[in-house]
Amino acid sequence: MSVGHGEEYVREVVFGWDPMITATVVLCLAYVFIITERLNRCVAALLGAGTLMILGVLNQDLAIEGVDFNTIFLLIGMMIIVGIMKDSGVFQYVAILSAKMVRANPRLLLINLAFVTAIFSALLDNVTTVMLIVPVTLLLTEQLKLNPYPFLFSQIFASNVGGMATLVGDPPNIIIGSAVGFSFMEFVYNLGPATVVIMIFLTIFFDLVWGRKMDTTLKAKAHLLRYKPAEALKDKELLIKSLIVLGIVLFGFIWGHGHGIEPGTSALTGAALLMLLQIYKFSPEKQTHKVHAALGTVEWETIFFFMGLFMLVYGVEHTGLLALIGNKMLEITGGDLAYTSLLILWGSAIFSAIVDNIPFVATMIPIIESTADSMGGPEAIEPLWWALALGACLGGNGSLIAASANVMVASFAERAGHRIAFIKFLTLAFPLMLVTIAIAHAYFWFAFLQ
Amino acid sequence: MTAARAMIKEPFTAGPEQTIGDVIKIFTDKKVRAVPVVDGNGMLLGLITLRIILKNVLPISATMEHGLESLDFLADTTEGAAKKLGKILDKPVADLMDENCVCASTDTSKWEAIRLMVKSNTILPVIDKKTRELKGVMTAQSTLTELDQTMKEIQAEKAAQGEDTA
Repeated sequence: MSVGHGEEYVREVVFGWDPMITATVVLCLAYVFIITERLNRCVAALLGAGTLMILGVLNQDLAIEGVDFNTIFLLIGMMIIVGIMKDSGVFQYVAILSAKMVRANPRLLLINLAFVTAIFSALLDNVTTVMLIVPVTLLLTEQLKLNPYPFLFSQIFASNVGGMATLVGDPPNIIIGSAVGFSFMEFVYNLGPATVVIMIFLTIFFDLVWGRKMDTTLKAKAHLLRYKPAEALKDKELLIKSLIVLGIVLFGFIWGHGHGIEPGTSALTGAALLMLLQIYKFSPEKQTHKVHAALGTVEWETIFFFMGLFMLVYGVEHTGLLALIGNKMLEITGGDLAYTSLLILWGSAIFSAIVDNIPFVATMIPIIESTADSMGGPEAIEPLWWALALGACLGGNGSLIAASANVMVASFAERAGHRIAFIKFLTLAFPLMLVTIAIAHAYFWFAFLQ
Repeated sequence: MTAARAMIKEPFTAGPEQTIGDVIKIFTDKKVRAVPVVDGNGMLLGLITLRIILKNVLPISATMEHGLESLDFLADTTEGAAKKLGKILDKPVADLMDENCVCASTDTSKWEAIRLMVKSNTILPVIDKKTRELKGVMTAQSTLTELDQTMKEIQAEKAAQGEDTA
């Protein structure tokens, strides 16, 4: 049986249950497990999607239609590229170099490392960025006898804010960009200025709260100045290959948009190209071994979580529930673009701080799409997407569980014996997040509503 | 044949309140690389090894999961490493010991005991299954000695049989 479109597929749900109620219950149950972290998020999403299919809300053809393979390809491709690239040691190199550049001055180091994190996060996945920067940060702070907390805190913020600037920087952007078809440069034009303004604000804030009070001994500084960053660069050839491929992929993102090449295609092809450059001179056996290693760096848990989530949300969307919510939202705002977008901005920020921002964004996309007709077409609602991206990315700073990068930093800190307490983080991060949303609000007003 | 046969019955041990400095002295004086840690009643609490002590000299960022994979860029750090060692010398063994060390019980088979030892790459404490009382340790040396002796016995037996039939 082949089913083309959702509307044609009307199947009796088993036991005669109402599809909308069934789907809502399954979605809510899955979200409860995801939010409370009682169950691994990937398992919760896949079980939810499976339940919808077995109960007849979706069939498998429809479920597959619901998966945004552009997002999946983009994630897998970028993960493979970074997974190979990190073996060159370039991330340690840059971090150590940035420490030497400021002559191991802790105050400037705090700022420098935040900017390094933000820049890497804009071009690469946030989780990967912090996985590479945090161990070096812990080493540097240990050597300088500094409390690592301010550094880790600023890096969480920098990774989420930096990631906001591009299509590939932050998971919410990837999903939004793929669903709506925004280009890499559209993200840079529309969200880049906000990123820069907010980063500058945060830098001043971190300096006032922590940086200006930081001090270390001359001896510790001298010690750090004897580091040899060049030694951290373990494989220069690999670095050159990776940079070339990364350049091609970025070019693919930018140029491909007008030429029918999706970002997922660029990323996945780039990953294949980098693997080719890595393996071509080896025996078939060794080639297999190397490819296995490269694929092993992909976070499959995240990939399957996305797939399960897409199917789950599609099932609920299919029953018409999300359109209903969209209509309710427009009733509240009276269909006014400014009110609607600012509601989305603040609403997504607060929601994303409480729950993982990925399921939230995945659910919001069909809701926002459903409002297009009553608000004057897809072009008219463009600001709503930027409001969602701003809210979700910045909201990711609101708590320790709000974004995957935060969870990663917290687990590193714990392993190094510097546990970050949930409440301690929340009491500073949540208000600070609200201030960044206020800045985003002002930016939004000037950029989209004037 | 069980682990009990190949073990050293009265191994050197350390108490949980002894310091790392004390343990290093045991390692040096007795020429061993690992000792079981036992409480006052002879119950096994964990294992302390030379490798654990060395690991604690490294920066945490290099020994944690997904941590730094190379420290090549750290130049001239003998002094730093020595200072870190100085810091842990007065710590009690209980702080650093491996509480989840691999161990065998007196009725573990010889094959399994050897497998465990190969896998954990250190000595194998042998305990009473129910009470966790330390009964002895198997070391690579004690096991090889025992195996060697058994092999010689088998050869002698064969030789004796050969003489009989001749």
